[in-house]
Amino acid sequence: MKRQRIRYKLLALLVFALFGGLVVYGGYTYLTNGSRWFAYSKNSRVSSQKQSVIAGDILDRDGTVLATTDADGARVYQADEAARRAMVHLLGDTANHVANAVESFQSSYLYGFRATLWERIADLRSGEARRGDTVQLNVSAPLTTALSEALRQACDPEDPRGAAVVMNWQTGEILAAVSLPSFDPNDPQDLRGAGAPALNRAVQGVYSPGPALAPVILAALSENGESAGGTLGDMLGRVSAERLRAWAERFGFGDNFLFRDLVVLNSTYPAGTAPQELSGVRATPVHLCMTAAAVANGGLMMEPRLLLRVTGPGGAQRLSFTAAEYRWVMTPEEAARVCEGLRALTPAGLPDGVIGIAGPSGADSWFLGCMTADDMPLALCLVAEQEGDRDTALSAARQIFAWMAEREAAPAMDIAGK
Amino acid sequence: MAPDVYQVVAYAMRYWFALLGALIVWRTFRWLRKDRQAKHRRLRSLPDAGMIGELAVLAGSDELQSGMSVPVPREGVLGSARTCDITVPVPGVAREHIYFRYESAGRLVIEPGFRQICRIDGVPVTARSARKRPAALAHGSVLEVGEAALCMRFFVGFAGELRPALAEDTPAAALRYGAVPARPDEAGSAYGNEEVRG
Amino acid sequence: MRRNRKEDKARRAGKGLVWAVMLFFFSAFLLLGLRDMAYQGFLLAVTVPAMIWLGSNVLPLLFPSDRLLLSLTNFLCALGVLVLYDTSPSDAYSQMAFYGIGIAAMGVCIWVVRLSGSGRRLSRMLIPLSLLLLSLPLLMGTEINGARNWIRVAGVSFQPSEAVKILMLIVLAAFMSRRRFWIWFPFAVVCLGLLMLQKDLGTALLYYGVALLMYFASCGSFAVLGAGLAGGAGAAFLGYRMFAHVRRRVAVWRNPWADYENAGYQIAQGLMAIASGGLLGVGLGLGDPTRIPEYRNDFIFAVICEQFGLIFAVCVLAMYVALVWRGATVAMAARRSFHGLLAMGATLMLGLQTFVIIGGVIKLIPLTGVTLPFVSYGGSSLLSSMCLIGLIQGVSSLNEDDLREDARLAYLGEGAGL
Repeated sequence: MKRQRIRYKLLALLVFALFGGLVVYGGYTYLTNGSRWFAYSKNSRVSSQKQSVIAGDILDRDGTVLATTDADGARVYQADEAARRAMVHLLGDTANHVANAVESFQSSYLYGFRATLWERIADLRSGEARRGDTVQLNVSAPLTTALSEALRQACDPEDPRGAAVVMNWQTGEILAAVSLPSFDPNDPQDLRGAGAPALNRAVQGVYSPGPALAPVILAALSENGESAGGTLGDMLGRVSAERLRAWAERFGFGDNFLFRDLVVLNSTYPAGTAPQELSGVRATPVHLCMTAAAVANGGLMMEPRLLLRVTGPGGAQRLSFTAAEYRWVMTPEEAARVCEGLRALTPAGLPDGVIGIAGPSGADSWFLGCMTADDMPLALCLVAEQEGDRDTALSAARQIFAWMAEREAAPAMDIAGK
Repeated sequence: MAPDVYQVVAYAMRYWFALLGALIVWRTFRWLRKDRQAKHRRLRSLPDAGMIGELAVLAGSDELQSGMSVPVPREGVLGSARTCDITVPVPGVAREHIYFRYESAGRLVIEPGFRQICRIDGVPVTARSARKRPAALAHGSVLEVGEAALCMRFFVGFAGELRPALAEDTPAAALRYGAVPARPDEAGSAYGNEEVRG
Repeated sequence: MRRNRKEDKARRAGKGLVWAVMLFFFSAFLLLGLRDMAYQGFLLAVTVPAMIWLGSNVLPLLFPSDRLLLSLTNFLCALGVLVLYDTSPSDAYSQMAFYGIGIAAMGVCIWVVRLSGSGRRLSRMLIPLSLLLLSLPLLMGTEINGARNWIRVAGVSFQPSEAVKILMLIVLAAFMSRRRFWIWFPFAVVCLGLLMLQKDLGTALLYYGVALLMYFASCGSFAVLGAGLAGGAGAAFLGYRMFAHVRRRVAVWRNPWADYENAGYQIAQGLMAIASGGLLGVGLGLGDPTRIPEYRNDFIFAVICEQFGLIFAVCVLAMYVALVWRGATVAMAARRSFHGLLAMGATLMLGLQTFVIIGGVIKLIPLTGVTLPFVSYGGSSLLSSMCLIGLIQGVSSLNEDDLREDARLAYLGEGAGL
């Protein structure tokens, strides 16, 4: 009986361990995935809340109203059609055609789920309809419109397909993300068109990166202090498959991306990929932009962020942007070497201080690069589908860098002031 | 109550329910702890709790000398391992030698382990014979396992019907054990009077 | 005999718990009554705490029982009634009726344990009875939810497997304590086989786990435990290969959102409910709990998470931990190994069942179709849980009797001047 007593204690401890596992797993999965489950478009609690709460406004970083609710309860977007079409994939529309766009993903803010008890009591006493919080994004509306225009000119006029992302590599803020083909949220007829207009290719489109893998390749080469000479193809001949794979994983290939502000599909680097045969690699433009950003930021990859500030209807501050580190990919010295290598590969015609690479991958035309000046810390990734030479993406990149240079006050500045 | 008023009231009450939930959990575990302390206290004042008798050592080893006695719980294992309920650290005794079980008054059912053997009052008992005919120790029976010889003595209340007027010990011992057999002498039979075996 | 001061303190702790539980349900039903403005809510606000008081203070006078286990049981059953009243009031009333029957069943089980002695005769009777009960659904059963384990008798449907749960426990405990391997082992195999024929795989896995752990408790060989676990894993793998609906369940467990419309709907709704609840819940009477399929029995935990929040859900889990703790304590204090195994087996059954269903709801393990003990709606489930608790209480009352007897004998011994 004595031994049995010891075993009863053991079994009880086993059950306690199981329950502990439940709590730990439940807590972990709720913290990482809870907001995504809540924001799932078919959540009936959100749709029923929409009946009684006036949706909050969505602003860009300068305060331009991107979406608001008018007196009749209808959702009103920007007046200019080009601006609307440029912003729709990030913003979403009222019918939730775009998956995980701000309108649905931030519904806990926009429909007043985060209101405190005192605010609810005050709303009740005032008797007015409740309003949701105002969400201010990091994106810049004029940059988004200009980027969309540049991308469109790079694409096939009949069937434009592509994506582009501009990020601040110091803080991880997403300043613009566009995807083509697009549609007008006020008039969603074009949704039935070819090319899946509701798909946000910037975060949900997976491509074979081709030359956009340059940061990874250069990092793999520079690890041994080898000189990064010649074209990208030459470099691929000098690097081993395992080393390239290891560096891809350091750059985030194979990670399960669980960013707090947006849903990005995972990038994959299949096992056994030979350096000469990289067509099986898949990545999203946002992730590739993050890789370039990491190189420019001295090896520190920042988490991509969309929200600048969230304020309640009464002015209470719910959330304020703070930069979040994602991972240290490499040391600053290695990053400097990669920058040098990238500088050598930079095509002509780009402004000073811009490093990057342009080229085709299969049928797509890519540009990936960044402005290295500390007062303009911008990274750009652009892909134009089915325009298989280097120049289309490159000309789009030139266009957008020129646009940014014209606007002397770069959009990345002055976060504290706004 | 109007729905929007109810919403605010229910929203406020969430804190109340979470608090009460935590209070209920805290009180439950406090009760568990108090019960455990109370039980420990009771058990400490009852050193023989759960014991139904003793095995007096007639022949043992250096560690278990004759004259000592080991308490016998209601059910358990007898063997040379320390984790046994009755530890008999004598050569010839397996780590887990015998399973015993107190059944009714005055019967301690003995079941040797697989391929183990023991003797009760001289009669050998194996696992198979115990299955066919259950073997038991009565008050005063002698159990031989390995090189040890142990005499069973039940406590008061567990001994059942006994022949009286055999006690040669003190009245207190009689009260504690019920009647005990005469101490066996070295030379002769170690099994006491015929009349003792009830 | 002196009254121990520590016993008084324990009794006072018990009183504090009962009053806290009564206060909880009084306020909860009051709130629900205010929601509906119907007299039923206010009536229950008085009735349920009164029943809890009676159950905790009067029942121990009627039959020997363990007050702590009684209070835990009362809390969990009343919680079930509360959540049912919140979502479907008619079910709450029938659950209260089942609770009454359950109390009687609990008393019967206590009585059975006290009178069964070493359990030999009883267990011999129970073997043919259980086999008969388990084969009934195969002969005259109706199929619900893909598993054929319900039968209808005189307009009432019940699950024989829930009754066999108790009988099998008694048989296993009796024969394991006597090391009659070749009696209980074939019996268990036949029972499991019958269960698997009825496609009730989740219950079969649960019984297998409990039987294995009981065997480990009685014979103590880690080798057997390891072999048993490996065998169980192998059988689970076989089940995965052989049965299509097992494969469906595993696929849905991995990604419920992929098949949101059909198979994944239940888990997805459960996760959305948990996420909407957050830490403190959406509020009692709010939210959308009835949208979850099986919200009354399998997924009642998700409803609790939505209404009361994760903090309260962890508190409920802690109550189950306390139940397992108490059950193990009772098993360790038992004098006969039959009683110890019986108590431990019942404790393990309750504990593992709770783990399995909560694990399924939070997507730690695939769903298996078992219910949450005491809380889930359903006569069979509630009755079997009450019977299990009755078994534990029976052993606990025997322990109390033994201790009192020892104290009496020691007192006699002391009085004789030893």
